This record gives sequence, structure tokens and C-alpha cells, in this order.
Amino acid sequence: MADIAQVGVGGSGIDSLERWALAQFSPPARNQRRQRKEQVQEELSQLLFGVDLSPGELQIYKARLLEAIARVDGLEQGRVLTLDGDIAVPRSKMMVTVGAMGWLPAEHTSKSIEVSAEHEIHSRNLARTLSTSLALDPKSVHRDFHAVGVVVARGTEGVRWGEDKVQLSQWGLDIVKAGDYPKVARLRLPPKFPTQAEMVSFRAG
Amino acid sequence: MTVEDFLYQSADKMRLGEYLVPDVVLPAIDEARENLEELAAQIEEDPAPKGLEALDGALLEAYALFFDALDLLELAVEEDIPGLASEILVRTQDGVETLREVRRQAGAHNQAMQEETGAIG
Repeated sequence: MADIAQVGVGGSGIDSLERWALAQFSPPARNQRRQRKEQVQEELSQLLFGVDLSPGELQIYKARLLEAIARVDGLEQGRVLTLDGDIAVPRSKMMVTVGAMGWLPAEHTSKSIEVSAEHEIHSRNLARTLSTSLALDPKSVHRDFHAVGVVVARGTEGVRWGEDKVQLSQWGLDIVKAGDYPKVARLRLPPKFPTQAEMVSFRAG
Repeated sequence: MTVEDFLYQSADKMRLGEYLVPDVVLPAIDEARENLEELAAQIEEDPAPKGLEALDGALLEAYALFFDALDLLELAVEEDIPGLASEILVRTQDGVETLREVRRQAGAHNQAMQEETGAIG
């Protein structure tokens, strides 16, 4: 089995970036980074002092030391990014839009669900894999064939209702569309099912 | 804003629950990458003489850490994953510490050479 720390960014696009990001949270990856940091420190501490260099080499040596300092300063102070506005806005000031509707979300003092970044990336990967596998095999897609909502009780506490839903695979839908199936003679309901039900919705897929 | 300030501020705002504006942040990420690529290319085109290779190695390592932080920031913005903020901050901090170590070591060596040879510069 491959070590997760060794997972590289193969391929391109956001998919490979997600795989790489997920790998960053693994303990072996963290270990590897710590070791790399120590190795860099160790190598830096072993720089030659240049005592046995010729005067010419000494000049080059000195120039490179100053150049290294200039490179650090250049990145830390010299290179400035151009930003076309504020990099962030508070979420409470974000307008959410769906079609022509827009609204400001209510402010939450605490998150309803706490999830880690690893979990978020993993969930997205799972969703993407599922969607890919469904796209590759359309026969495996199940669609609502019909769904009936039924009110099972009305009382002072409100209305209780349920739903009877039939989903068919593409294979099943093909058979139904072709009409090549035995007629349904009767529908058997469980004994506890109410004998009278109020149909509240019906839709056919 | 410098690359490290940009990374620190972006990750910090994300950690505080603010929404990073993709139209502003994503072009800045590209610009930061271009800056780092240019700096890395300078080192690769003109490597350090024998005995100072570690300086190049450490600088490239610091750039690689910033590249990683930028990749994570891009993912966090594209996919809206604020949980990546901590990892971005860690990478940025590691990169900054590596740069400071390069400056410290290079400065110390330069100082030692000045004292030894009596040269100023």
C-alpha cells in the first residue's frame, strides 16, 4: 500500500489538488515535513566559512551571501501584489441569491456542525466519485417513478404525513415505458396503514 | 501587500469566518506564484558556488512552502473550505522561518568573513 505522504499531484485541475490537500493532513505527511524542516536547518548550519578560499572565490562567496539576504528581503519587502479590492468580506454582509431572489443570511453565533477540512475534502471527493460513477453507468441512476404524499394523522399537535415513493433504475424505466410488464392487480398495504389517506401530492417521474 | 502578508491575512480572515472574494484572491494567488517562479528560476539559472548550496536549497524550500500555502489557499477559495486556514498558516510560518534562518546564517557568515579578512561589504 502506498504511503499517503507520497501521494503526488498527478493529473491536473482541482481534483488532483484535492487529493494532494487531503494527503497533507496525514500523520506521515506531517512527519515528512518536520523531517524536511530539520534537514534544511542542518544543511544551513553546515555552510562553509570560506577560510580556505582564494581572494577571487572569497569575493564570489561574499557576493552570494549578500545576494541571499537580498533575495529574502526582496520577497519579504520588495515584491508587492496588486489587489483589486478587499480580499474578504464578512459572511453576514454576503448577499445570497437564487434566481431573482436575494437575501442576507441570518447571523449565527456558532456553527451548527463542526467539520474538519479533511472531512470536507473527503465528502466532496465522495460526492464527485458518486456522480462520476453514475455518469459512467446511466443504468444505475435511480429516478423517482412516482411519489405520493399521504396525511396519516391530523390532530392538535399538527399534521403527520408520510410519503410513498417508488424509484426505478433506467432499466426498470425502459421496461415500464415499453409496457412489457404484468399489470399490477392490487396494492397490498401493511395492516397498520390507515384505510383512508388523503392524497396531498402526486408526481410521476 | 507581500506574498507572506497576503497568505497570513487571507488565512486569518478565513479562520475568522470571513468570505474570501475569489475575484480578488485568485488573481493575487497567480501573481504570487509568478513572483515565486521568477525567484526560483533566478536561483536555478545561477546556482551558488560550492559550500553555499545550502542557501539555495533553503531558499527553494521556503518558496516551495509558499507554493504549497498558495495551492491550499486556492483550494480553500474555490471550494469554500475555511478549515484549510490552519494548514495555510502553518506552511506560511514555516516558509517565513526558513527565510529568516537563511538571512541569519548568511548575515552571520558575512559578518565572520568581514572580521576575518577585515573587508567591509
